[in-house]
Formats: sequence, C-alpha cells, structure tokens
Amino acid sequence: MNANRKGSNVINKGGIKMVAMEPSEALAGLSEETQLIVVALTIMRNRIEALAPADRDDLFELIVVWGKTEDAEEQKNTHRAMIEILSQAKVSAKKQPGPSHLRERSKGWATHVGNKIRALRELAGLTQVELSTLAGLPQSHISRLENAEHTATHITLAKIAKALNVEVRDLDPVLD
Amino acid sequence: MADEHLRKPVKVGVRVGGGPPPGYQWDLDLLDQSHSEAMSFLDEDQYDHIARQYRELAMEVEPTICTTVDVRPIEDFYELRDKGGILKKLNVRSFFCMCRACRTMAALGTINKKNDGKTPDHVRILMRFRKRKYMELYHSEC
Repeated sequence: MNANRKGSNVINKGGIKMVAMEPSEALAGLSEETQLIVVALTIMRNRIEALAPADRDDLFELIVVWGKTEDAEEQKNTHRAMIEILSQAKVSAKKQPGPSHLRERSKGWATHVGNKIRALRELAGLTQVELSTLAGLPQSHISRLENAEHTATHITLAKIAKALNVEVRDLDPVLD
Repeated sequence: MADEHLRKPVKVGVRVGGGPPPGYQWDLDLLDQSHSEAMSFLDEDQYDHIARQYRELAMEVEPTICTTVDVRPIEDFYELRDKGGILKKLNVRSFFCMCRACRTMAALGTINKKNDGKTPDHVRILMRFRKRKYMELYHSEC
C-alpha cells in the first residue's frame, strides 16, 4: 500500500503512522480469501462496537475465559455464550402455572421415599413434628413427602437422614 | 319485589391484573433459554421436579432462604442446586433472578454440572447478561 497515494490520508497517532483509505482501496491487492476475512472482521468489529457497554464488557470477559480454558467442552460452551451475547439473542419469558399433579414415575419415586421416611420415623418413635424439629424442616413438608405429594431435594433428604440417623441412600432408591 | 324501587344498584367489579397465584408469594417467569437448556438433558419427570422446587421457593416470603431447597447467591442473582434422587446422576444448577418491586422470580438458565465445584465463569457471565436483558425488557419500570 502506498501511503502517499492520491486520495489517501496519513494519520499520525501516538507516533504510529496509519493510512485512512476507502474500503475498496484497503482490499485492493488482497487475495479473495483474505478479502473475505477482512470483511468478516470488519462486520465483527462493527457489531462489537454497537453493543451496549455492559454487553461488550461481558463479551470481552468471555473472550478472556475462552483463552484461559484448556477444556474442550468449556471452550465450546464459552463460545456459545459469546455467540448469544454477540447476536443479542432475544429474551422471552413466560409466566409459569401453579402446581400440577406428580407424573406417574415421579409418583412412584415419591411414594417409595415417603413410605421410607414414615417407616424410619415411626421406628425411631418420632412424630412428624419431632422429626421436623430435628431436621430443621417444616412439619407440613414432612407430611407432603410422606404422602407422596412432592419430590424431595437432596438437601431435604440429607437433613431427614441425619435426623433419623440413617444414610441418604436408605431413603433414596435408584430409579430404573 | 315490592321494595324494588328502594334498591340501589350495586357495582361489582373485578380488578384485572397480575400477582402471584393463591398460596404463592412470588410470580414465576421462565426464560425460553432456560427451558430449552433444561430440556436438553432432563427428562420430563426431572424437569417437573426442578419446576416444583421453584414453586417451593415462590411460596416463601424470601425465596433465597428456604430450608427445603439449596439456594446460593452468585453476583446479584441466585443458583438453585440439586442432585441425585429423581435426578439420578445429574448435578443440576438452575439460575434465577428476582424483581422485588413486583415480586417476580425468573429462571434464567439451567446446566448439568460435572462436579461439585464453583459455577463455571462462562455460565456466570451468561446468566448476568440474560438477567440484564430480562430486567430491561420486563421490569424496566420497576
């Protein structure tokens, strides 16, 4: 590129001379493949510049994360997150309805767990209130679990198991 | 009726508006991205189980403090954790934010964590982005 070409402007920025050219001038002399890369990079740059500052900050933070990780899966997921921000993926939310009945398979699991809790509680000679106090859980929740009206979380089962002095696996069967 | 002329008309009205369903302290929104992420690795029973835990939180006066669901703060949103049981070998982390002004929780995203360590950075950053977009779109006037 000839910096003194007619129609070109030489800019001196911090001691570095740069040439401002028309796009067509900038691409002249480059191979077709390189031209495509330059166009893609220009589009990318424009898109990044158009991002809101907070979005741009998030994108740059992801680039750093992507560069640091060696795990292929993490890199792929980080890349996906970058695309979501760069493409300004639209957010759409729906209100969630109230509770529904347990599905058949869940009901089976909840029934098994509920029966286990009740059996072990009674074996320990505890009322639901006493168990709820020991476990740090609401009595109503213990009741719902024993009646298979709800599926318990791991943290709940761990609290109940500890209160009953059993292992979590004594309450939680492995589903087929 | 004889006293018909003495009766005054009674105005009956219903205020149409939002607000949590009966028994719930908070409304619950679900981002499409969160739904599709969850459905990519959860079966319907497992998805239903996570949805139930969200409803448990929505019944609390303060959803971030619940004795039956493991909730932890991350930046200015929250992470719901559960594993095992009906989730089998899955270690689910589901992220949500809250608009306290209009008492709405929103599920932002859901992942299957390979280990028990901290939330991956790319997930944290992405949830931060989604939360911002959700709040700008749905709660800009709150």
